[in-house]
Amino acid sequence: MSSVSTGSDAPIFHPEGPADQAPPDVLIVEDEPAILSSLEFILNHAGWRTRSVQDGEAALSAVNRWHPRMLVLDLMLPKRNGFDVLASLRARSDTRELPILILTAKGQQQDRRTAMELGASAFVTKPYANGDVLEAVASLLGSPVR
Amino acid sequence: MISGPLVIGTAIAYVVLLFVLAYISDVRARSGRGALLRSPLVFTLALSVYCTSWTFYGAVGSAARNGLEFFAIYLGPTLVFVGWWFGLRKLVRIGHRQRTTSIADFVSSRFGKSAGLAVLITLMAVAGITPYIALQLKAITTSLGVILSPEPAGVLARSGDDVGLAFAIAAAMALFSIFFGTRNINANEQHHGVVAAIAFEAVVKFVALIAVGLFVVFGIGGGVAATYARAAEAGVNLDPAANFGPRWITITILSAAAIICLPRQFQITVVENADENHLKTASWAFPLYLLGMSIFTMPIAIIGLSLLPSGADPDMFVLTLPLTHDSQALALFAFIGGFSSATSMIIVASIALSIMISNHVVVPIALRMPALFGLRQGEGMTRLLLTSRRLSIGFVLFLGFVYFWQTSGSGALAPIGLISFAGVAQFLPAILAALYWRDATRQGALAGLLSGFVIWAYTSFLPSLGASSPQIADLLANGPWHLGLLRPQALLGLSGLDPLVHSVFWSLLGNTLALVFVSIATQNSAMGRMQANQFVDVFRRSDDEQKGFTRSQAPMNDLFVMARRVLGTAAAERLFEKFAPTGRDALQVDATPRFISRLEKELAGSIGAASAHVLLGQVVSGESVTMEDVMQMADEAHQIMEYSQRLEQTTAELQSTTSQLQNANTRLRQLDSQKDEFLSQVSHEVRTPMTAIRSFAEILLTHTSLSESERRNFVSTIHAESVRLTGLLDEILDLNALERGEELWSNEAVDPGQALDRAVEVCAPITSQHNVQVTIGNRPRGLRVHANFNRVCQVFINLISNAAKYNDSANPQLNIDCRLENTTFVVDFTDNGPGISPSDHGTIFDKFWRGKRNPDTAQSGSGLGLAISREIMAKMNGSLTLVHGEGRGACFRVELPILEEAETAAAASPNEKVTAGAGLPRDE
Amino acid sequence: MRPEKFAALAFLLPLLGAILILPPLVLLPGGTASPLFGIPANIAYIFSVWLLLIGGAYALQRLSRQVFDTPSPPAQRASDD
Repeated sequence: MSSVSTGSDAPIFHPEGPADQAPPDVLIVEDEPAILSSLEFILNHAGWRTRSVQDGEAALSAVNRWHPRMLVLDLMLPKRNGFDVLASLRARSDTRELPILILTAKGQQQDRRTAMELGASAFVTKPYANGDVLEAVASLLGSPVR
Repeated sequence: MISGPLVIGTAIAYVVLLFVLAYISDVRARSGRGALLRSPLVFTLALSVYCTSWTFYGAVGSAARNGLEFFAIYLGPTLVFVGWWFGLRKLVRIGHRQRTTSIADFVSSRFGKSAGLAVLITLMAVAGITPYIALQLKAITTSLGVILSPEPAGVLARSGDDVGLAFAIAAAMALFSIFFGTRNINANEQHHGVVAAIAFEAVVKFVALIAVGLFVVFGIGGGVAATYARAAEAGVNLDPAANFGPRWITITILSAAAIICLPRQFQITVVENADENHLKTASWAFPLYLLGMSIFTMPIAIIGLSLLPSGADPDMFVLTLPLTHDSQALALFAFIGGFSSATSMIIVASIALSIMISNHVVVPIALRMPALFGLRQGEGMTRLLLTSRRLSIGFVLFLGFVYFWQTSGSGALAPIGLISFAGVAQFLPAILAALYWRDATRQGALAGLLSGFVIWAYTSFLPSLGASSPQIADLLANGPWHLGLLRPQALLGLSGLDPLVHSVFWSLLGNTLALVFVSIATQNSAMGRMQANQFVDVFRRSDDEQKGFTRSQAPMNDLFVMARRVLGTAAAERLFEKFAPTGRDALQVDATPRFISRLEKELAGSIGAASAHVLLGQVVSGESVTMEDVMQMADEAHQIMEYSQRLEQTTAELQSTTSQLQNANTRLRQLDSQKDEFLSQVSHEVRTPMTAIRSFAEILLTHTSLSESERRNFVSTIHAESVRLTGLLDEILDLNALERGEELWSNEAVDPGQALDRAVEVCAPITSQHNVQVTIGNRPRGLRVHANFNRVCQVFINLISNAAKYNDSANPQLNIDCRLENTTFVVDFTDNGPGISPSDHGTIFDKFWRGKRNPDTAQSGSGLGLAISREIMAKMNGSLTLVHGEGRGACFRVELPILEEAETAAAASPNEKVTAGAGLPRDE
Repeated sequence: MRPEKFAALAFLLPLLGAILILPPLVLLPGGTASPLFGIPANIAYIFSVWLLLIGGAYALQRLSRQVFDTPSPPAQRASDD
């Protein structure tokens, strides 16, 4: 199973969304360019289609536009932080089950607990081993399509 | 009829028996075998000295005349003894502590050891008790007359008393009292012989009265019910409304007062008491004794009234009923019972009064006029005391005899007893104040006693003499100078009351009001306050070696001589040896306050507190208590007050310390949480570049088939992130050092304009990269500020690069304006960027604050630049502030104080090159 | 029993006695009209109250020995003689 979700909620092309692309497997929300490029690299190499945004507001509209199969979400973000994005998505019926992998430099237990309570699916702390991220994504999406 | 010799012989034999009993008891007590004598039983029986011939004979008379009123005479004492825990226990405890010798001693001791009070109470007691003693003499002579009369019922109404007989009896009683009451002079040593005799007499009169009662009720009356059935016929008043009126209440109160205030009762209850615990037994046994004494009173009165001729004297029914019913032996026994009641009262009362007279009247006079009384160094005091006591006993009995003589043939027994009760009841307010009211003063007690005494004498005592003097009778009827308002039995026109109720009401009211008001208006002396605490707080004190003469410069010889004079040689030596250091001579006693206080108490035990105090005062320091001593004697209340003030103070100090600690703790917590936050932020800031480095390094390790450009790209990212990480760590350390106040550089005279030029030059690549147009206006030249060139540059570079990197305007501009304001060099950095939102104004200089990032910015900063810049400016006595941040654009202002010419010369500066080092350009 | 409670009892007893033997309560039993075992009612009443007080005092002093185990100090003079 590789494409966008099917059923009653059939994919709709968003007017302002780029129509030339299939829905991504992973939407990366990360404001640090270096980290973002490394994430894109490893996920692409693992076979996932990725798209990325750099702040919380963009993340929310990107979810509407692109219907990603999952999110890799940083917590410290400009405009709206990761918790905000997480809570907004969990409040909506169509994204309540969307797998979300939280990335953060803040390793505190409190952040992890907050994220879990808000409905995060998995949690990886920076600096991470690339394998950890790949493993988490794979467990949330199944095997990537080559 | 009973033969005269038999009666007289029996009476004499009885007195001899008493002598023997008293003598044996004295001997046993002295040899330490007096356990029984010090038992609660003997104590309780001795208390029955309350039941005089007035009770033995007079109660029946009272029942015949006034119905149930006689019960009140016993119910008052019953209430006092049942409530022993509150009144008597305290009285006895204080009496023991203070070595009280009499009721006068007790009151005077409480009110500052006042000699005047002691004299007044002594006089009042003598005046109050004299009629009572007369009453006893009358009872004995009358009863003798009845029992010797060939036709008892017929002679009962006879009014003439045998004055000669009365005198003989008084003399005999005086002898007995002198013999056993003045064997030794220390009242504290107690009169074991007398107490034993009184206890024995208590048994005799009790058994005699019960015997007569049983005989009358079951022998004559035909049983209890049959006896009471005659009540109406006899005309006895049993109507509740008539019996339980004001007179009932008054007599209850009077008798309750009397059981405490009567000198003989005080003598037995307090002075002769060997153990406070005896009160526990007496609390129920004494009321039981009283109940027994009154159980047959009413039946005897009923039978007497119904069987004897109408002229018969009810006061003698106890005697005449057996006599008229052919029971001579019982009549003789009853006579002995009555004789017992009278003699026990006379003996104890005369001893109690003689102690008061000699201690409070004779000794003070003798101390003032030693020559007159033959008091010289050495012996003398002991003899004086003994002599004065003996004479006092004689004097008291003589007075009683005179009263009896004068009032002979008038008045029944009962009224005289009640008059006496009303007299001594005047002590009650003072005693209650002594026990419970700390603020009662000597003047108050004096005023109260005097008022009460005067009113009593005028309204009670004087009228009792009315029958024997026409002048007094006229006074009673019309008042003095015919002033109706001052009639003794209708003061202020208050007529219609029973004379007794009237007198008791006015006297106790005047007494109490005077006591209260004068006490409020006056102050206790130091001694008075001290004694007040000793009395009122007697249960709170564990060991009370009473403070008195604290100065102890008394020459031992003088003290010893004086003690020997009063106590006798043997007793004085014993006392001194007790306090002497072991193995030392008795005269080498240290005159400690403890010793002096003990000595004073011993003396007080012999001559009363007031006299002892005066006597000791003459020896100690040649004067009485000095002012210094008074200060030392600061009474307990004062000490407690000070203590509680200290406590309050300590509490306040503790509270203040606690709140200081709490503040410090809060501050520490704040610092701690700031530290935690800082660490957390540092950790976050470090993790971000670390993540990129680690991730790319792993990519390089695992993906071997990367293109060369990819590889180069990743390696350069790793390098850039490493540089960023290093810069971050440098800044953290730099800021840390600045905040700790470390000297990182030395300030010297610097041209700020030059530093600004250098900063603009250094930032040229950044500004051009962001297409920022930088405008620098004219700036004052040749100024000098006290600063470090490189650090000033660092601040300027930080501000310029921030303005460049965060300016999202289409046409980014930075305007640098510098000028001289008074003695301050001012630079404004104004940009047209996004500005600082008002909510961030308070926090932009905080560590790790970040502005909105320009998306094009390749690298973000540490968030420490502004914090570091502000610290740097502070170190140069300058400042970095945000001037306005609303809307578009922000303006940061740097201010530095310029140096005067002289200072400039002193701190000439070489131009230095800007170096990178610690001060990396800061971005937000 | 705590000493304070004992003191309350010790205070109550004479108070109760005073209330019982003073008007108005003492007026309650009436006079000779209603005798008790041949004794006029008010005399019987007075003796009853009296016995009650004596019994109360007896109980109280027994209680005081329990409450205050340590005997109060005997009179000083007794030991000084």
